[in-house]
Amino acid sequence: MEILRCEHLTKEYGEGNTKIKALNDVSFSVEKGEFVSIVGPSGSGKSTLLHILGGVDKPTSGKVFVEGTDMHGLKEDKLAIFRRRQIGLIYQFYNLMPVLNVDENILLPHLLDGRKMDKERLDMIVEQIGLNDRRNNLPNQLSGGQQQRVSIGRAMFSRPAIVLADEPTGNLDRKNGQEIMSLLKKSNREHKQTLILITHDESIALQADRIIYIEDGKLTKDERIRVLGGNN
Amino acid sequence: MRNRNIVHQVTREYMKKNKKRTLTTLLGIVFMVMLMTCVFVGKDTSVNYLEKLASLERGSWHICLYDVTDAEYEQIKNMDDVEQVGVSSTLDYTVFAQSAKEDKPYLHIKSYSADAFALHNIGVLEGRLPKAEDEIVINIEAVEDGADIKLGDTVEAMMFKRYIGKNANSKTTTVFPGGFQVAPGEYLEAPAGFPHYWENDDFYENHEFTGKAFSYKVVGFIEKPSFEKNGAAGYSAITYNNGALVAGDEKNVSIRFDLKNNGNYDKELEKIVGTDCDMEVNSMLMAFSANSPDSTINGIVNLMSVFFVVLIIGASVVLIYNVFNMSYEERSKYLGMLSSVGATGKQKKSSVYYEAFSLIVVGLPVGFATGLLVVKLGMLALKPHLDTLLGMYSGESLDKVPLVISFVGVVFTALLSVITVWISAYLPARKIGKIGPVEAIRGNDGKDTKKRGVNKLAIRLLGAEGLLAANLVSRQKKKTRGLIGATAMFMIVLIITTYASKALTTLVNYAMSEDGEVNTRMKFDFVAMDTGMSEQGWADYEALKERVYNDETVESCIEYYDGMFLGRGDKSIYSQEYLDAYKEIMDVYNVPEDVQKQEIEGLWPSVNFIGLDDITLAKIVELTGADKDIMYDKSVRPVIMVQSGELSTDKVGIRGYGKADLKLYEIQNMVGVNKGETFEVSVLNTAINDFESFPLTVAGFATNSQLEEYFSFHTDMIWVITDMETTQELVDIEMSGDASGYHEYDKLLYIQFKDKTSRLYNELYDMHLETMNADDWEGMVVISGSLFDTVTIKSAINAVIEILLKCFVALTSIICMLNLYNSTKGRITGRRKELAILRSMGMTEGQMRKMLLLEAGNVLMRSVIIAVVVATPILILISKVLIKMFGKVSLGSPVGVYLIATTIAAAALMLVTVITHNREKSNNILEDIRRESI
Repeated sequence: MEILRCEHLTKEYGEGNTKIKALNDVSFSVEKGEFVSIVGPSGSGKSTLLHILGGVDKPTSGKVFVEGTDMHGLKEDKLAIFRRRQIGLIYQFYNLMPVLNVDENILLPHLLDGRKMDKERLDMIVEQIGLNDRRNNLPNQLSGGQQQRVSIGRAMFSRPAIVLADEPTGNLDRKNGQEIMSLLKKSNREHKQTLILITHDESIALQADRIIYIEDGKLTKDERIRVLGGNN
Repeated sequence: MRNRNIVHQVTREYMKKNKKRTLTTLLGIVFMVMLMTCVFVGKDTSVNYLEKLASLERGSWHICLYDVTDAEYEQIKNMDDVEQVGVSSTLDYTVFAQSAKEDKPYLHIKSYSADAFALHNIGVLEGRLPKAEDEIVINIEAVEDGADIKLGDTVEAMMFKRYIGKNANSKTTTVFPGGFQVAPGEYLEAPAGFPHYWENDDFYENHEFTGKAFSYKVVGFIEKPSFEKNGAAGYSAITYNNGALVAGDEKNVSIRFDLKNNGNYDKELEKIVGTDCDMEVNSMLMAFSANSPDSTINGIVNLMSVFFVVLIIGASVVLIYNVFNMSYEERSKYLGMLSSVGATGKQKKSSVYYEAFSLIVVGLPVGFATGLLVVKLGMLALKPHLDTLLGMYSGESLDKVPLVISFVGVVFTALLSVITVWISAYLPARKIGKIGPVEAIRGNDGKDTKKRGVNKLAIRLLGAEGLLAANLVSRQKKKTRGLIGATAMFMIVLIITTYASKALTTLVNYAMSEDGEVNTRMKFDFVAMDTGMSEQGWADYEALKERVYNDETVESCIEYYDGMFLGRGDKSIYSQEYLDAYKEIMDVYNVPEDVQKQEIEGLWPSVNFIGLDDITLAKIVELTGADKDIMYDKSVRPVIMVQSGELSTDKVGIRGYGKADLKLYEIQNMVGVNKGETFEVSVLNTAINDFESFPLTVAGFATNSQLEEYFSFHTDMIWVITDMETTQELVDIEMSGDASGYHEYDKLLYIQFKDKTSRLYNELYDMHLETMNADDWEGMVVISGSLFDTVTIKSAINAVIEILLKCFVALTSIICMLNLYNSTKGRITGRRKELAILRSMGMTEGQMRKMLLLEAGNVLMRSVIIAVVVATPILILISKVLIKMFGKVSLGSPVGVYLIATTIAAAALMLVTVITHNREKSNNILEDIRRESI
């Protein structure tokens, strides 16, 4: 079942001679429960693509449909609500709220949606990300790996349609990086969580079901590595 | 190669990079210098202007001494600080045969030296001033009144003194308007400006010729001198004297001082001429430079200057400190880098000082110039107001408002500005100097290390926005401190300035309250009055009353029977509070205990009556909650007793105990009688020439605040409000016999129109004009209410002080507002990344605004606590100092001031938050998230 489809996405920056095409007519779709890696060299446009898919950036032209909804056709407030319900964003530099502790950061999108605190799910997520003994810590009291786990917990908590991760291991050492990837894969396999991940680390990309190659803003290759729902 | 200071160079680059922040600091400094300039130059300029304006009325002399001897005159001339001395002499009266007015049959002649002419601001309207002792100038009103006199005419003057005598067989003392009293058998010299009264069987006027005779040539006509009283029997005429030739003890000396040294000039002069010498002080002129003999006025002027400067410095320190503190994190990064390559703590500190002082180099001249401009524009804006206030008295105004820039003022402005900037920069500089290179670069200096549980309460009550708002304040204390400080400072300045202004105004109001015991506060277009001089007047008054009550164009009408001094009561009517205050006044005069006891035993209070028409009395019964059963009981004479009163060293002089500094005692309960109680007052029955007892029953009590629409009492006497009948009954007793020479009890009708074009209105206006043109007031007179709008000099000073205080509150609030705006802006701008993350997490615009407003509310709550904690002891101190200086005056509860300040701060904080958020809002979430600094 198709969960995401983008059609002819183009993103341009600047004007006249300084105009740069970060994305050039990119179209693809993603099935529910699929784990997709987007790879490409620095400046290829992969982060721009991810941010447009996440609704935090707008395309110059083209459309993004998530579960049939034209995301960028929504008004600002509707888009914000759409983001907190349907999209889970994981950044390279975690971007946690420094004044919220682990529990509060994880709960943030859920609370923003005006829903009551789901203690059971919170306990489960905290257990899954392995931060049971750090629940009352503020972000500056956590290591980089721990902060990224919190950001994964935050992205997963509301059971979004898609989780988008922008180089989630880019700021971590190999061991921590592996742990984060295990966490993401586990969520993808066990909870059929659709996952789109940006990386320029080939070993990480190869852990996905499918790899999309971007170069100079163009989709150059779309390669399926394993069958959806297949084992590692 | 030039040796360049790398720290300063980096600081300069940093300042260029952070243009907005640099500009805010500069603006803060400019504002501070501007306000300091306003205080120092503004004070000098306004004092100079007000002095000039005030001198238009009475002249530019500061102190006048009468009947000074030659030796005393020489000593006075040689006193330090004496700028100019004029000599004048009173040459008594001569018959002015050319006069066209029967009640102005004399010339009252004085002689002036050239300096005296200058000091007394004698304005020549025609001709010139006299230059020889046989030349004279005369009040031009003589000509205007039809006197047959012109320039070049000769006046033959046979000088005499006027005496008033009273027949020994009269039974009563005659009290003339103005207070001059002549008892049966007495023969007294008439005071200066005494009017011409037609003699009757009771008293007579006699002229005693001095034997001096002069022949004067009229060389000019002058405007009426300020010393000539309205209704005086003689037109003023002034001849010339050369100072030295005025006979020994007949010299009157007018002195102008150089007031820079703020000396006790009256006391210094008393050392020369003794305390018995008649001394007159041009208080109005001296008050503005804090040299008034009235210590209250001096105290207020000096206190205001100190108060202004302290608050400006306080507000400026917080603003500039906040700006430096806000830039601390950013600055600590580049200074950390410099530190890692060997910059010392001293060098790091010098970065802050370098920035501060390079800004003051620019800020000082710009602020000073702006301050001069503000003073100039402010004075020009205030000029019409001041001219109206003061000019109505003198009928003149000044064309220009020159800026007065004193060297001391400039030095003080510069010095205090530099000190303020140094204080503001000191703490951030010290902090920067101490921080190590690694923690500076990482920016983790002082990060919160406490573990925090989930703020469930905030979530339950206010959702995610509440959680974030609560945590953003409580878990980022250092970052929020600036904003809380700015808001608290805004409130503290508002609370202190508003309260102190209110307190000063209250004090000024007390210290300079009008001389009248009771001031009517009713609004009225006309007041009709039966002067009691004729039967016809009474009939006219009653007829008018009838018309007024039946005229539809009349909005309201109040009949008021003025029964001042009608009765006398036992001292037991006074409350213990009054007696205690009276005792304290005597303590101020250092009256010994035994004399105090005698004074209190000898009290025989005057009981004064206000009779009111039934409708107005009913309203007052409602307002005061008086007992209606008593009030409308026909078997008793009911009264509402006025409880508000005041005692002061101004009102109470203790014979033989000299002059005391002014102390005020506000009295909440003047009387010690109870509701329902009946007490006796004594009323003089002129038929038997003895006092008669008259019982009054207390129906209730009234205070100034309850009566604010009708009257305001500034009295140390007992006042009672009752009906017209009771007042009439008392008046009838007093008037039952031969009451000539007694005080007249006037009935007044205050009339307010809703239609100011009506026939009755126009008729009354014509009657007002007739009254104004009449030589004497006889029968019924009508006066326009607009005539009562004229202000006295005291109320002018009061109004000027009120205006200046309001300007000051506004100007200091601007600094605080700038600080608040800057802190809010800094907080929102510095959190762009956090806000962008929240937006990327799905926070809507409405939620963000709610969060920011909740956060502002949280900041406000903390600021209110700080403001209350800081401001309360300051308010207590202010009130204690003011009470210590000026007396026991209720300065009012500060609760209202706290509420006003909280409301204004809340509105300002919310408004600035919303405006700043809207202005700083960016649509580019990604760009904001990628920002390096938080």
